[in-house]
Amino acid sequence: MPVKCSSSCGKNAILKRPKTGDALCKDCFFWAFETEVHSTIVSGQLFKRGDTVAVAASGGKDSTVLAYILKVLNERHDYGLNLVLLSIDEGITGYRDDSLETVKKNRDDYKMPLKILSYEELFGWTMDAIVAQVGRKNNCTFCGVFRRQALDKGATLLGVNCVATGHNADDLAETVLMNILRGDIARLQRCTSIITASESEGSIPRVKPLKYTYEKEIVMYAYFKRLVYFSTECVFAPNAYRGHARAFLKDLEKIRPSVIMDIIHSGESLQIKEDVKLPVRTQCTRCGSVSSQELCKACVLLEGLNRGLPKLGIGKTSLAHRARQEQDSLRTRITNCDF
Amino acid sequence: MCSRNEEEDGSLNVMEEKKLTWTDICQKCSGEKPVIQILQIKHAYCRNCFLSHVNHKFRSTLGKSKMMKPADVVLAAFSGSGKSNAMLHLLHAGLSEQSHKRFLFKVQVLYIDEGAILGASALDRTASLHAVAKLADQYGFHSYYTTLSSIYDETGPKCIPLAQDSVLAINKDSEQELTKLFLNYMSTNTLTLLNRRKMFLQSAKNLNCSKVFVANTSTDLAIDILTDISLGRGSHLHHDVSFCDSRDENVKIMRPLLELSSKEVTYYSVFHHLESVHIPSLCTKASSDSSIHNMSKQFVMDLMENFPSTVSTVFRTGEKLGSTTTSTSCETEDNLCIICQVKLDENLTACSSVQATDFSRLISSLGPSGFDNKTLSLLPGNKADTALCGSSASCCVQSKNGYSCPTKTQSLSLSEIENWCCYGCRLILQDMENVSSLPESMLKAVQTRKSLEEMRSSIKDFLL
Repeated sequence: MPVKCSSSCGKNAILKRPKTGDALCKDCFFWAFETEVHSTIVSGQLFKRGDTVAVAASGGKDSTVLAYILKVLNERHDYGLNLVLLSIDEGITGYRDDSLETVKKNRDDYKMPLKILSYEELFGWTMDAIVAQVGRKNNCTFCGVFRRQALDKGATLLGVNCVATGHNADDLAETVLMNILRGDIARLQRCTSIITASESEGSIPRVKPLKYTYEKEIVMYAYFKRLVYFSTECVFAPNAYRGHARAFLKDLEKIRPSVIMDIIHSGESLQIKEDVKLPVRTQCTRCGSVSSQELCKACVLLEGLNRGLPKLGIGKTSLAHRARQEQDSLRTRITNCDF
Repeated sequence: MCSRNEEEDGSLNVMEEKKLTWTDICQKCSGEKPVIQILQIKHAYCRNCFLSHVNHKFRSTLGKSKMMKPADVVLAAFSGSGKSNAMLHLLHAGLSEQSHKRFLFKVQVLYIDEGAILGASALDRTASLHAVAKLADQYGFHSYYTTLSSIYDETGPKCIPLAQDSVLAINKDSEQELTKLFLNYMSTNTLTLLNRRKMFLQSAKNLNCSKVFVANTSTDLAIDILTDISLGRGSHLHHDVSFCDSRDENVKIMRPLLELSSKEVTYYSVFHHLESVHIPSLCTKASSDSSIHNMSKQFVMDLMENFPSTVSTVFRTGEKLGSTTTSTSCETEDNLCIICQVKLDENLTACSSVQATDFSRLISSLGPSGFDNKTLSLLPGNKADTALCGSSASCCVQSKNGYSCPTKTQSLSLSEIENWCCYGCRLILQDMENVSSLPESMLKAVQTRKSLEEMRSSIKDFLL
C-alpha cells in the first residue's frame, strides 16, 4: 500500500525526507522546501529590502537551485531584492566551459543578468596553466583561494550588497569535520555562521540560504522541478583529504540521517577556551583584502606562480621566505655579472 | 632556478603522507642498542628510553595539572584491559619510587561488571571477575567491584571488596532495569558511557575518593571528539575529552594517560609483560556501521595509516575547546540535563540548526493547509524557556510532599522528558521506542522537575 503524505493532504507520498524521515507528496515537498529556505532567510536576517544580491553560480545543483528558489521567494514574499548571477571561470577545459553553458541557460530562464569573471583576466593565469606548472597535487589550493578572491572582486565590481552561495548542510557538516581534522580552530569557530564577514570590515558579506538544506533534498527538488544542472566532477584530481571527510559523513548519515544537523549543531555550539590565541584579521598589504597575514594567501600563491616557485604558498612560511630570498640573491648576482 | 625547492618538495605540506624512516640509533641516548620502537616519525627510542619516556609523560601530566594533593584518595577504574593495567602499573611505579619522587596520594581500584548489558552468563561474569581480581592483586591496592546495574538498586550502588574468590552479587530487578534500557536501542555506546560515568561518581563517593582515574589515551579521545561532534554534543565536548571532568562538585574524573597514544601504551604493556583480561563489550566484533562511535573509530584508524598526525591534531583541537561561560550561581540541578548532567543549551538563537530541524518537522506534519505565518513566528525560542534557571528551586525542594502528582510516572511522554535533556540526549530518546524503557529513577526525577516547574509557574507572579 502506498504511503500517504504525512501532512494529511490525502495524496500519496512520493519521497521520504532525509532530514526528518517524513513522507511527503510532491506538492507538499515543494512547499516545505521553499518555506524552510524562506524561514532561514527571515530568521537569519540574510537580506535587506532593496539589496542587490549576487548569486554565486557554478552551474552545479546547489547554485542552480539557489538561483531558482531565490527568484521564486523574492517574487512570492516580496523581498524587494535585485538578483544577479556571478560566475567565475577558472579556465578548466572540459569542465568549466561546459558548466558555464548551464549558467548561461539559467540566465535566460530566470531572466537574471550574468557576470562572468575569469581567473585569466583577474590573475593572469588559467587553472590549466597553473596545473601545468604545479602538477595535479595541491592545485585545489590555488583554485579555492583564487575563487574566494575572485568572488570578492566580482562582487565589488557589480556593486552588490552581498553574495549568496549554495553551501548546503552536508557541505557545512563536512567543513566542521575538516576543520577539526586539520586543527583549524579559527575556521572551526566561524565556519558555521550563516553570514560571514561583517560589513564594518569593508568586505562584502556572504550568506548561505541553503545552510540547513540537505544535499539530497536539493537533488530531489531539482529532479522534481526538472531544473537543469551540470554534474560532472572537476577534471583535475579531487581534493583527496576532503574526500575522506566526505566519505565519513556519508557513512555516518547511513547510521543516523540526522547526523548532518547534529554536526552543525555541535559546530554552532562549540566554544573556544578564552586563552587560545586566534589569528587577528588584518588587511593584505598588497591587495587590501581581508587576511590574517601580512600578505593574503592569494597574493602569496600568485607571487609563487609568477616567480616560478609554485610551492611558495603551500608549505611553511619560513621555507617560503628562504626560497624567496635565495631567488632574490641569485637574481642580484646575475644582474651584477651583467654589468 | 632554485634547486633547493625541489628537495623540499612534498615534505612541506602537513597533511601530506609521510614515509617512515628507520634510523640505527636511539634518538635520545644515542646508544649502540638497536632501536626497537618508533613513536612518531622522528622519535626512534631504545627500549629503556621509551619506558622512561612513557613514565615521564604520565607523571608530567599529573604534575602539570597541579590538582593532586597529598591527602587525595584516587579511585582507579580498572576494566582488565591492557590500557587500564598499564595505568595501574604506572601508578604502582610512582608509589614505589624514591622518597622525593613518590606519589603521595593513595590509590584504590574499582572494577565495574557490565555483563548484564550483553546478557553474559553468571558463570562467565564470575570468571572475568576472578581474572580481573588476579591482575589487580599484583599491585597490592585495595580493590573493589560493583555491577553496572546496581546504579538502579534501591539502596544505591555498593562497592564490594574484590578478591580472587569473590562471588558476584547480582540484583535481579536492577539487572532487568538495565537490560530494558539497552533493549531496542541502537547507539548503546553513549548510554554505557553515561551510566559508567554515573557509576564512577557514585562509587567514588561511597569509597571517599575525591578523584577517579580513567585510562583514556589520546587515540581514544580523538575518536571521542569526532563521535561527540557527530552526536550533537559539541558544546559539552570538553568535559569528555579534557584532562579533568569537573562536572561533579566533589568528585573529579581525570584522564592521566591522555598525553599518550594507544600505541605507546600498548608497547609499554608489551615491554613490561603486562597481562590483560579480555571482556567483550557491546562494540566487540560489531561492524563499523553499527554505531557512530565504531564508525568514528574506523575512520580515525584508517586515516592514521596515511596521515599519522591525525590523532594528535584532532586531540589538540579538542584541547582548545572549552566553555567560556563560567559556572554561575543559577547552575542548580534544574538547569542540568537529566541524563548526562551537562548544562542545558540556553541561548537558542533564532537561526540555528535546532530551530531548523524543529521547523522542518513542524511543517512536514502540518502541510500547506494547516500552516499560516503565525506558526512561523511562534516557533523560535519556545524551547529555550524550559531551560531557564530556577532561582526558586531551593525553596521548593523543602516542600517535598507537596508535589501535585508524584506517582503518575506513566503519564509522561517522551517529548515531555526531552524538555529536560540536552541536544545529544534528546537524540538518544528519539531512538527509543517508548518511555517505559527508561529507568524508574529517571522518570521520577523528570516528574519532580515537572511538578517543580508547574509550581513555579503558578506562583511566578509573586516571586521577587
